[in-house]
Parts: sequence; structure tokens; C-alpha cells
Amino acid sequence: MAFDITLGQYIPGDSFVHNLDPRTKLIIAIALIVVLFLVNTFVGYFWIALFLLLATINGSISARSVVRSIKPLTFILLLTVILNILFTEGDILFQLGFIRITEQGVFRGLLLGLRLILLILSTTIMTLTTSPLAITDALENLLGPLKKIKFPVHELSMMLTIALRFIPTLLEETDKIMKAQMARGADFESGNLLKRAQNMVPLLVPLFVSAFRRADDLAVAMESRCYRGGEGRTRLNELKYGKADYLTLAVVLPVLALVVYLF
Amino acid sequence: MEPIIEVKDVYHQYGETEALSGVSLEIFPGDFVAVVGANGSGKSTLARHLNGLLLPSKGTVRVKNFYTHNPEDIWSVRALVGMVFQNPDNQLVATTVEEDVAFGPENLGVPSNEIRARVDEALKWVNMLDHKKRSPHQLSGGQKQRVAIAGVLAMHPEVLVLDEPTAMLDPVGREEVLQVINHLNKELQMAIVLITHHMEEVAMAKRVIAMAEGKIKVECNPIELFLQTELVDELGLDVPQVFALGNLLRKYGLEVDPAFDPEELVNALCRSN
Amino acid sequence: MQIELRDVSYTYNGPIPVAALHNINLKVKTGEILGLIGHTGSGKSTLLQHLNGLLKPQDGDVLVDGKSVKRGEVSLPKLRFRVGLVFQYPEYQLFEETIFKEVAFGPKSMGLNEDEIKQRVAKSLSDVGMSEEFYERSPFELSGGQKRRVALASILAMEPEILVLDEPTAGLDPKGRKEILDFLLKWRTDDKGIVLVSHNMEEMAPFADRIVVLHQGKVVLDGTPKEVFSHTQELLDVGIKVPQVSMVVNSLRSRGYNIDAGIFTVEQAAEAIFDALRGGGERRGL
Repeated sequence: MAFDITLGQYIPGDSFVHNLDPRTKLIIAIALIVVLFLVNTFVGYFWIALFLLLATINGSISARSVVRSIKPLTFILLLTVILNILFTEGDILFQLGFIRITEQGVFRGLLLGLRLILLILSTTIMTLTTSPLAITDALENLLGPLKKIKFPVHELSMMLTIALRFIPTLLEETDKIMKAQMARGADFESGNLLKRAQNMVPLLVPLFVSAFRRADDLAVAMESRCYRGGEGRTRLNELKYGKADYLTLAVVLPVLALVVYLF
Repeated sequence: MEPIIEVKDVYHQYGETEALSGVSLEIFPGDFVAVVGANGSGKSTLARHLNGLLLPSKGTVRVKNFYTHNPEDIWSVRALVGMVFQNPDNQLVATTVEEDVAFGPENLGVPSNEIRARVDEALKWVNMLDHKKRSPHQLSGGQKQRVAIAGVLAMHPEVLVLDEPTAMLDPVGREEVLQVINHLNKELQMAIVLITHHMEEVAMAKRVIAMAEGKIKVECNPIELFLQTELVDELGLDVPQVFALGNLLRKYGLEVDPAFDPEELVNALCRSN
Repeated sequence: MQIELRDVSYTYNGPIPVAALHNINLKVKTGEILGLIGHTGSGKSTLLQHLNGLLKPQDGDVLVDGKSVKRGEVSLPKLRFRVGLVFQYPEYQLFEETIFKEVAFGPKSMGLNEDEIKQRVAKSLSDVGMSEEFYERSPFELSGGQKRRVALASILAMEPEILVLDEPTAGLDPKGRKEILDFLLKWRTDDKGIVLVSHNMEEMAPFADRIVVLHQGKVVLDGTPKEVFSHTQELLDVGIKVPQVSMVVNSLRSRGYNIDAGIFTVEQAAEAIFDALRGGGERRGL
């Protein structure tokens, strides 16, 4: 396969973290994101990092998957760190021509870099230990109250699920069609912007036609399997808060609040 | 025996063209019917009438006590008549195998713990239990198609309608899917309607229906169909190779019983010569 | 024209690297119909893409009439026109408003003039049995079999010397399959070559001059259909079934009947079996 599919990162497992209700994980991930923006000290980040490390070990997440999740953002990460190091005013540590590195700059750069890494980790731990479907379920459930104001919560989560399911398929298809058109002399690489946009037509038209055909087929298949919207549907994995979930939330949320308060 | 499905003098109009004109058919418990015919002969249209995806312009389709044209009956009909389609990619909804198999029972409102039992049972029937946590795009075509079959079985249907389920598969995938279909028919007495372009697959069926121009032209057992080489030609079909070899040997004057399987033909040859 | 794969290896780099080809040595030339057999994952499609330069060899080299692809001695865009590659389900690549424009796409990107384009479109469409009344119709209105033929014509219009087809009959009904194969037989002349990938042994056997069996990225058998299909055991070992007729013949041979091993068409088999069983007696119905 020519594409690295990052969306479905889920690696099945049977750990404490894996078995938590996806809503618990979603709530904690959101709380972590908020906390990371409120806390501004290395000591605070140390405690959060320690917490994430525990979750990583418990979920038996390999160092490789952690590195892989950070890799796509390396550029932004480096840019943030370097810009902050270079352009923060303060006590000069080192000077070479117009380049001036300050104590405050190094501190800020590293802090923001660390914040970014921890932000990525907070969400990655969730996506690595929770199937995309469970995450959509959690979203659907947490957004449930919006149904009262006629917000199509079920429909949205169904769309999300189907999108997740078909992204790999469509990526593969793109690759195939591109090659097929290249075999007929299509050129996707040269020419100016306008020309290039024109050259995309032989790729985009078949891709859309195929996406519509798939949508059609899928609709028929879903209808055949008695799909008629969210009403009266049950779930294979009913979301159920267990003791572990109450316990986790009861421990983690106050601890995070404490971290914010102290640091 | 009471038929599960009774198709009674069904017509279907697609705009100008008449896709079905006066089709009648009964499917019984434990049945295995192969439906063959050239493209545009009305096979798929017929299949889609069996679970009410299409409705007759004239005539009726009855599934047990339910009629496809009654809007309040339609979901009962679809739960009784499971449908598997050609393209394995375009009928899986969820991102993991088990969640996909659960999709049908979920729609039927089956309680959660029973869904779990049904999913495991259905995956066992198609021999995919070991893959239940995997995601569909990691599976081969044959595996995907078996998951699609499991997804239908989990709804506990009484008839399984398969619309060219092997057309897009390689020989390995085809073999896997055919074995599953055969197993379901033999072990679970599941009634099967198999629509196919592959004449070798017809041999598995108890009855074969050959269609042309929206009508059923012949209904007989597979052997009787392929003995009529001219008719087979006329319908735009072909005779499976081993069977054709038997036909030719008989024409040459050898005494040999018709057979689809190479080993069976050899046995027949050795028996009578 | 001759394309030679010399020690070609290819590995897909990804999260999990997948080795697709190992030291492939293979010659493809005009005047020959080469049948390529292998399972999904045997490296077939990777191999095909080396023939027209869609993929460049990572290891080894591809020589086109002796010129090296690796060293850049071959113009890849031109190679793609000389070697027409028809992918599986080619109808999925249709995109133009009219059938005429669809087929003209290839010749147009070759930079041919209007007249030449018109002439080629007309010829290739009539070759695949599509008359003039189709020219201004949308390719999306056609039946499955017709779409397949238009897609085929869109490659033929580039007048390739070697035509490479991946499962050209997949998903068609018996009549549609026969039409495509008949057309290919008619199209093939001494200065044209065909590489045909198929799962269907019955279809392939009477059609190919030479058969190559690919397994896990390696060539395991290479010879005439007669030679290849007499290696029943080797084929079974890599999970490939011989044509059913060959199975009948082989089984009879193992029971002591004197029949030629390399038989794979119904007609040949019927004659040979009749002779073996009746010892040259009178055949009826001839």
C-alpha cells in the first residue's frame, strides 16, 4: 500500500486503559488538553507526563507508535521551538551577529515544544487504545442531549463511521486510477498551476463516479440489513460506566485540577 | 412443504424496459437454487425483489406471512431474507469485523448481550472468528465477502440471497466463499439463492433457473440444463469444462454418466468402459 | 519489440515493507501471447507496472530493445504508449463526456494531429465492435461489457506494440468474456504482443503461447501451456489449479491409461480419451 493510513491507529488490546469506557477516555483527553493550556511550568508538565507514561505502559503502547504519531508534526514542533528560542526578549545567553538566544527564549521554546508533544500524546493514547467506532459512539453519546434541539447526532456519527471505514479504500482507489491514467499518458506532475488543475480531471471524475457508486451500493446493503436510522437501535458494545470508570474519573479529574492549582 | 418465499407472476418496469415479465418462483426451506442468465436477463432485478429492495409493478412477493409491497412488512421481510452483494468493499459499514457483523442485529434492536452471541456464532460459521477485531481493509476479498455473509447470518434469516458473490474474487477467495455457502446449506439447512456467471458454481445447486429477457426460460436440475448444449448456447451461457467433456465423449459414442467434478467423470468413465 | 526484466526486485516501503518481486528474469516480446498466472499478492501487478515504466526497478534493470530503463536510456512517457497497460476493471477509469473524447485521450496526450486522432479513435472503436452511433454518447450510459470495450479501445488507440491486460474478463458474463478473448486473438499479429494475466486456467490455456507462473514474487514455472500444465504437483504446491480438463487427463493417466499429459482443451481431451479407451475405434458424431 502506498499510503500510511494514520486515521485508524487503533491497536486492539485488553488493558485497563483499553477497557475504559470511551467516554471516560474522551473526557480525560479533553480535560488534559485544557490543563496543558492552563499549566505553564516544567514541574506541572512533569506530573502530566508521568500520568501519560503510566497510561502508555498500561496500554502496552510501543515506543514506535508513539514516535510515529509525533513524526508528522515534527516540522511544526521544530518551528515552534526554534522561533520561540530565537525571538523571545530577555537575558542574553549567547549572541552571534543578529542571532540572540535568551534564557527566557530557551525556557519558552522548550516549554511550548513539550506542551505540543504532550498534547499529541494525550489524544494519541486515546486513539491507539480506542477503536474509531467507539470514539464516535462516545461522541454520539456525549452529544446526545443535543438531539432535543433536533441536532442530527446519530446521523453525524454514522457519517463519521462510514468516512473512517472508506478512507483507506478511497486512498487505494486514488492510487489505482492515477496509475491507470498515467498509462494513457496523463501527466500529474508538470505544468503550471492551471494546467495541473486541468490535469486532475481524469483523476477526479472517476474518483467521484466511484465514490457515488460505492455510496449507492452501501445504501442498498444497509437497507438490506434493516437500517432505518437511529431510532430503536441497540449496540453491540453498549456504553456502560463501570466501577473502573467512576474510579478513574474520581481520581484523575481532581488530580488534574490539583496540578492546575499548584503549578 | 410451505415455501418461505413465493414470487407470483411478478412484472417489473424500469422506465421503458420491462426487466421482469411474469416471473413465478418458490423457495423452500433447505433449498439451493442457482440463478443464471446473460447480463440484462433480469437476474439481479429478481434478486432485489426477494427482500423488497425493488417492488413489483404487478404481481406479489410473499415471504412467509409478509408481503414486500406492505410498508409495515418490509423490515420483517428483510430480516428473513438476507442479501449479499457482488462488491465485498461496498457492503461493510463498520471499521472492525465484529462491529460490522453486529450492524444488522443492532438495527433489529436485539439486546446487547444477544448481539455478542450472534456475532460470535455467525463469525464461526464463516470461519472468521479469529479476525473479529481486524479492520475490513486489512482483509482479502474472500475474507471480506465472508464477513458480509456473517453480517447477514447474524440477523438469523431463513433465506440467503447472494448476487454474484464471487464475481470480484480470485480463485482462493471464491473457493472460501463457496465452501461457506455449501456448509450453510448442508449443515444449517439454510435456503440459498445463488446468482452467478460461473457455471461451475451451478453444480452445487439442487435446482437451476435460467433467465433471459426478464423471463424464466428453464427450471431444472443442473445436470438437465447442461445436457441441453444448444439451449445453453442460446441463453448466452456455457457448459462447465468437465461436463462439456462428458457431453462430447457421449456424442462420440462412449457411455459415461454426466459429471461436474473431474474425479467423478473419471470414475464414471472407468465404470462403464 | 522486446522487454527484458533482468534480476528485477521490488519492495514496497511503508509502515510494513512488503517485498513484491525477487530477482525476476523475464522476456516479453512481440509476436507472442504470454499468460501470467499467480495469486493475489504474487507480485503480478507490480511486475506489470515494470513493463511500461510505471514503476522503475529498485534492483536489477528493465531493458527495452536492449536499452536500459534504469540508466535513463528509455523515455518513459514513450514507453507507456508503446506498451499499453489495461488495468483490472478498466471501466472505472472512464471520465470524458463522450466516448469519442474518452478514446481520443491517449492519442491526444501523444501529441498526434486531429486527423490522426480521428482515424485512430474510429479504428479502435470499430475493432472492439462499437459503431459510429456511440461516438457522441456518454461512456457512463453504457452496459458493463460495453464500458469495458471502450476502456480497451482507449488503450488500443495509442497503437501499442505490446498490450498488457490484467484480468480483462473479470466480472463479465460468459458472452462478454468470449467477446473480449475473441477480439484479442484477432488483434494479435506478428508485430504485436500480448501479456495476459488471468486466474482462469480454462480461459488461459488454449490462448497463450507461453505461460509464466509467479509465486511470492518469483517465477516458478515458465514454458508452453503443455509443459506448464503437465507440472500438476508443482502448480498445486503454489495453490494453482490446472485446467479441469488436465485434471481428468492426469487422473486417467495415473490409472494407467495412455494419454498425452499436456492436454487442456475439451476437444483434444475428448479425442485422446476416446482413443485411449476405445483403442482407435470408430468415433461417432464426426
